[in-house]
Amino acid sequence: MKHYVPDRKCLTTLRIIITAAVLLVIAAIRYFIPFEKTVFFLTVFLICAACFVMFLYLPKFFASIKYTASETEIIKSSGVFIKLYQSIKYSSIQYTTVINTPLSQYTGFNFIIFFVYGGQQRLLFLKQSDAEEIIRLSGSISMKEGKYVP
Amino acid sequence: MYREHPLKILKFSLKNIWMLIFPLIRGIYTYHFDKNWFYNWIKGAWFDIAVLGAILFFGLIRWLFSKIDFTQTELIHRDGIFFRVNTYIPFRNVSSITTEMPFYLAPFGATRFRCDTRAGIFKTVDMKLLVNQKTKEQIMLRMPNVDEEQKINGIPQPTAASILLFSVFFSSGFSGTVYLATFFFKGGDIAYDIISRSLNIITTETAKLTEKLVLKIPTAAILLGMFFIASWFLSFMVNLFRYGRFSIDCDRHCMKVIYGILDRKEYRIKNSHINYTDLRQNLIMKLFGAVAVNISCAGYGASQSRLPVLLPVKMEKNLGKNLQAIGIYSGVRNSFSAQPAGIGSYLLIPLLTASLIIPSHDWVARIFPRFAELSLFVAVMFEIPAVWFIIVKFVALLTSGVAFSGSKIIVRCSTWTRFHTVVSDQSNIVKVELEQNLLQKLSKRCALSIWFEGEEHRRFKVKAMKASEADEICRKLGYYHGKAVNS
Repeated sequence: MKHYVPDRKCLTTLRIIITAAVLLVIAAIRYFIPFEKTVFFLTVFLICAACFVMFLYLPKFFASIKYTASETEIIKSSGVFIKLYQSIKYSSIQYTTVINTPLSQYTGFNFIIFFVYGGQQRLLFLKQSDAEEIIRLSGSISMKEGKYVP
Repeated sequence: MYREHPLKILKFSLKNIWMLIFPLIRGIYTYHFDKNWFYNWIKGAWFDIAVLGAILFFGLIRWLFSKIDFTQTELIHRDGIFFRVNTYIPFRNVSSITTEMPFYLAPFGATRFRCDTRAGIFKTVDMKLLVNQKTKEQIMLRMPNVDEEQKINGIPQPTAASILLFSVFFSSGFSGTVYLATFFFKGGDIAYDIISRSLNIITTETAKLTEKLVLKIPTAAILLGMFFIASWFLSFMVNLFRYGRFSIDCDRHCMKVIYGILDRKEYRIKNSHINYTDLRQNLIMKLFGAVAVNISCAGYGASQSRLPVLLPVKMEKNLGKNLQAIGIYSGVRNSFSAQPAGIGSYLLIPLLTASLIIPSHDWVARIFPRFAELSLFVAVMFEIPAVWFIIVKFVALLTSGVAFSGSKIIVRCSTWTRFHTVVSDQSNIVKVELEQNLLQKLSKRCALSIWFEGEEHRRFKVKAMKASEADEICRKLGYYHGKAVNS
């Protein structure tokens, strides 16, 4: 039985992305909307929403995610307001999708989706090494010299 | 490593069509804030061309990043520029594959390829690719195929007549369309007289109105009738072209179905991944002993406009024992049948509906005597399908039940006006439900519902089963909740 948690580097990456997106939207608002008061309220609203997501929701969400892999199954527990526990047997996996980005070892953007009978299980924000280990444990992708074909 | 067909660049480009919002915003901006907006807009046309160029360029880059690969055991598709999406489908889990070369793709040598597994809950395609001939051949080499040496002989090939009949029966509800058309054609004339008189009775003022309005009714009725007939005929022609030149081949492991006149589709289905076989009939087919054999398998007939048909209209007596290899059983008598004493479960609602139509005409005639004739006409037109429904449900009562044959279970039931004979392996059952109301409790009867594996969760319900027999069926299937209704 092994436990995995999301890569904390991903939290930083997400904060950078959200900040950049908010700055872009604010710039667009200032450019296109000629009414100062509206611009001011929208800017304040966007900054508050971004701060809530970046410093309250996301840290809680990341803290809530936990993956437990055994010899036969993988259990995912997550959720801030509503806790969700989901377990799938490796034998029921029909196919697998692995999603990553360039430099994912630094950004933590490694996702695995296991497609099983009746649904799917998404393992989000994994460390690259953890993702490889989970794939190896599940046996859902053929490995070459201990690594899956990326 | 292989790539998708270059035509895919256009499809990828279409995904970036949202970028046209920038020229649009520029247009709106110049329109609102500059008097010479048209001049400015034209002057900046280079920007629009640049955006279109960028759309196509992104499409090209996306295409370059979309790659197809194989390992010893799986098919791999890599997609995406920034977010790299790598999908790995093991060959052993492939349930069905579809290849299609529509006439408009044929000049480019492009083939649509779809691959499906048993994963998921909706009829979604697991992998969709647009490939050239060379890539297709490479993929197909690794996919399940019919072994020519082990081919099962005697599989009935659908004839032109069976395709024609299938297209007649399954084109947008044949009987319903004919009825609706009759309603408007014949009813139009009758309604014209009745409505004219009914409206003329009210006042002389409305009589003037009647002149204007009612004269148009027969035309509208004829147009509506024509519309229904035309739409059915269109659907019939589409089905004829879709399922024409139907051929089926199979061995013990795989089935190959090819059909279509203009748009040839080839399906390869893994026999062990077929969830169940469904012999469908309507009342007319039931009376003549004809069936349409459908199957439930991930990916087969998955699109909205396709039916998962395996053998278009066939006489049930002609389905030989050699078809049992692909799960088609016929002529097996019910081991447990619906009880004729439970007639109420089948006929209560149809009888109530049919018996309330005429009285409701009486009530309307009493409250609005001027419309008596009109309401009689409407009541008669509604009474016909209601009586038809009674006959369907009566036949369902006589034929519904459950049978066992080796490891197979055969469920005979009806939904609305359709009859089903569902054949499946007992191990494919995922849920068994027993339903019993107070009256059924007293008479020791219940309704038995069975669900089979598959992306589409369909219920097959046999009403009016003897509670003790339902309990026995449950036990045979390895479920032990039957005693709750049998106590």
